[in-house]
Amino acid sequence: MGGLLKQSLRGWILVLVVALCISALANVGLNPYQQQILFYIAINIMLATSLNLVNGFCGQFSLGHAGFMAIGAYASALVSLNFQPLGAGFDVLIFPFYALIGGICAGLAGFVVGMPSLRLRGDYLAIVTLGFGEIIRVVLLNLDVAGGARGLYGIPGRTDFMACFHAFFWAGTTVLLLWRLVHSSYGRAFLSVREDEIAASCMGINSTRTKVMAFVISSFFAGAAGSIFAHTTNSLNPSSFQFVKSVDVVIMVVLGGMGSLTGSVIGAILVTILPEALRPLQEYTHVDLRMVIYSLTLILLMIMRPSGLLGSREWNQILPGPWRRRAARA
Amino acid sequence: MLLELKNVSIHFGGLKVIEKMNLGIEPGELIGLIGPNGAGKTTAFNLISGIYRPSHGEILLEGASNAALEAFEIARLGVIRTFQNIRLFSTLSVLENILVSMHQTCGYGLPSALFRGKKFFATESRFCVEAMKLLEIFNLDGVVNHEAGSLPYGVQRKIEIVRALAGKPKLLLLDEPAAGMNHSETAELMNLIQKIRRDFKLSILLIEHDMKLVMGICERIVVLDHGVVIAEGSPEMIQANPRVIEAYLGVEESA
Repeated sequence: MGGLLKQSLRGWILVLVVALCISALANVGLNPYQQQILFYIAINIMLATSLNLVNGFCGQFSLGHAGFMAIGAYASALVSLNFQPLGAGFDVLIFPFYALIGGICAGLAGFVVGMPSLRLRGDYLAIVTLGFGEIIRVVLLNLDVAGGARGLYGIPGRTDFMACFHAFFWAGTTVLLLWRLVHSSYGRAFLSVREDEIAASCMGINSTRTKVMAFVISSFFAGAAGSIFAHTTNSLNPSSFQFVKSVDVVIMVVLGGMGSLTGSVIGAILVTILPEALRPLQEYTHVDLRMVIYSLTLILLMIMRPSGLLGSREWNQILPGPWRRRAARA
Repeated sequence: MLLELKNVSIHFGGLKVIEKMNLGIEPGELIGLIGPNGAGKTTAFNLISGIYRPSHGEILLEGASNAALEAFEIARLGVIRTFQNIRLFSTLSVLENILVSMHQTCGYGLPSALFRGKKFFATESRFCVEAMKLLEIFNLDGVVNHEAGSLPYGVQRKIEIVRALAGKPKLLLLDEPAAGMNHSETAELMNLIQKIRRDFKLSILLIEHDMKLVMGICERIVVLDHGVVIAEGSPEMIQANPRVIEAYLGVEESA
């Protein structure tokens, strides 16, 4: 019995340690610009892994992740602007609560969008989510409470050790929970729907319920990511949640490998860092080659590894033999 | 009566694929469904398993109509099928394929899956033990972790049967289980079908073109031709029935 408890706690300890190490390093060796990139990495890891649940594991195609992120960001920002129970020094303690609210709002939106469109087979979801993302952006643009085109300002937000820890703890939690989900009976149900929806329903899988479940969970984490975004940038603007943002997340997922959480984490890190890492190049050449090289890299990767960097394999499947066997036992 | 088809018809536009089909299956029966190509055998399976809905007539499952049920609900009530053109979850491992069928009896909720509760570990290990037992019956324990789609055709057929069995069926629908198998494989399959029927106490409805198999194990045979049941009875009666011979071989033309 103690062994099982240890097994369920091990993941959380790992998340805790990783988040602590990253935030400690961020505050010792990195400048504010690099810290900002670090925050974006945490946010993008959450976005990419959660989108992978729907696109990679469940075999549906969602194109509106930025919309759910926007809902989470605005919901959390509005709550935080009107409800600050703790003083300025301690406000970071309530950030997880804001993120939870952002996630729940986005999850509800996911249910409303997913319920009608996931009953159908095929590409309806792509069209519906694409439209949904744009609708959310336009609504925010015209909503007075949300500040319209000017957006929201003065959102409580910090980029210090605690805030960084908060961001990476959420990113780690996202990966851990999604990992556990896909390695459970529910995860096998997701995969069976991806592989063959008719066969799955003939084996007793409620495919609509399964797809909606994946979609709502995915939206929840996108909303939580939005909340973290809101509380690091301190301001929100509808233009941060354009269609391109959704496409960026799809790129991370496809680049890393559909159906691989490890791949999504790597994809998120690469797609966040690559454009920034190419910035110094601009100083030498005086021409903005950044996006050219960025897109060439993506094209080359897709030619050489069409199923993404990892395909559908996870970290424990790419280890060398003896290590892989150890991981399989653990 | 486990399953009863009452005057079931299905039309696709003007095409009458099945016309007024009647069929009753008692618990424990092993029935063969035969007929020439295009007779409507697989369509009958699609009707029974809820993929299609009948245009007329009704299908009763243990006395209750299944008209309002979705395919997954019918499967949960114990009518589980295999497919003529194998539909395994091909990129999943053999074990995972079997475990998918067990999801309906999954004893833990989402929170337990996410936070790894006691029930999660208990259910997962029970699932694995049960799946391994089934795989051993079919001598498939050697390929447990192989990708299902990468295995030979005959093996994939057997995995489909195991996957169906894992859903604890009362009525097992086998759509051409011996297709693509050689003689010795077919003989082995015959024994297996009789064994699972005995050991799991289930009824089996079987579509098959291999007459040796059908005549060898079925106690009752139903013959479909152009969507109509033209004969029903014991293998001996079917073999001697002139209408069946006509449907398969045609009539001799008188000069």
